[in-house]
Amino acid sequence: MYILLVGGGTLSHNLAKDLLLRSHEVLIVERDRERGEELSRILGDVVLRGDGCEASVLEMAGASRADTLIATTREDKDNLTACQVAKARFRIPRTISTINDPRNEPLFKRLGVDVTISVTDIILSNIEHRIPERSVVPLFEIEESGAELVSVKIPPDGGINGKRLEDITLPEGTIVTLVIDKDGAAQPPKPDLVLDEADEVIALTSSENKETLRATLSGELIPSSDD
Amino acid sequence: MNIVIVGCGRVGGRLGTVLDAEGHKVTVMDIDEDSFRFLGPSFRGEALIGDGTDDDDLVRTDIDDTDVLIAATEDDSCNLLAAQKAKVQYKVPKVVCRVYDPVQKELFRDLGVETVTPTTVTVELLKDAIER
Repeated sequence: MYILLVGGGTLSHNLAKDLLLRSHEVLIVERDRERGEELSRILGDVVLRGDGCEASVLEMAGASRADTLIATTREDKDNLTACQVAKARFRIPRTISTINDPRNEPLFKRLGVDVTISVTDIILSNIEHRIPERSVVPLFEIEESGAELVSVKIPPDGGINGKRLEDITLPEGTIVTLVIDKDGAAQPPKPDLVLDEADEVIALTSSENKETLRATLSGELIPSSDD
Repeated sequence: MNIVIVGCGRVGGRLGTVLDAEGHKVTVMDIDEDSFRFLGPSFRGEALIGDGTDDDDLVRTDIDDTDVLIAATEDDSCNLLAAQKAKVQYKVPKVVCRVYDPVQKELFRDLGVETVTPTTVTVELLKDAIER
């Protein structure tokens, strides 16, 4: 495949290295002269100096025969422009953009960017995953349905420790799909499974009920036991 | 009309001053406070420091209540993102976008964003002046 990379940052550099190893044809379009020269020294003759948002530069890069364009600059606006020009002008079949401000993701999708990767969201969810306390970590969003797969870690001294799954009132529409115990073993969510400190609960829930689920599993909401 | 102008350079500043004088409610936004010097002394509208492609900053301009947004910075990508955001996300009825690269013009016509290309306009004017 012929892959155009717009922006020559660290991400793009490593991506190019990997893609070249897999025998793809790669060209990095980088605006900054010094950075461009640095990349050429490391990667060889795979760098074009210029602004990847400009049609004339993409033309020089042979955009009309490119299979994919990946825009990874630090500026969302430049990533969007590069993808839109690639699509509309050069009919590049697949455009991929990293997104710095997560709020831009839905707009970019609507404006025709094929694949959006929200860097901030990924890093955030990774960080949250490593913080042992009270957060809900979004694992996977099921496109546009409002449903989400999330992970919640049971905190120490919460009111929920030692309770059986069937005795916990979950928010409506929430399904526990898996429990990973503190030794890392996956437990199927049988009704009599006892939840304990440091267990990780993987559940399918809705965006609105996420917070209630977290509060429930953290023992902040005392589940009613009379129903 | 409620008018938001993103980018307060020579063009944005002058346009804001003129529209304000005509009695419109004008909000001008620029990331650089210095650029507000391009607003005329008579300007009575609002000048906000902010990025016209940032959602928080756009909301500060009362974007939901805006009739016209003009993206007039000197950066094409910035204008294009601000304009498309206004049009698609905030449903601003009329959006006009300044675009330097003539190629982009055709590209954004389909999206319902009107573009003005200074390069093309200037070339036409200069050509007219020579031929006259």
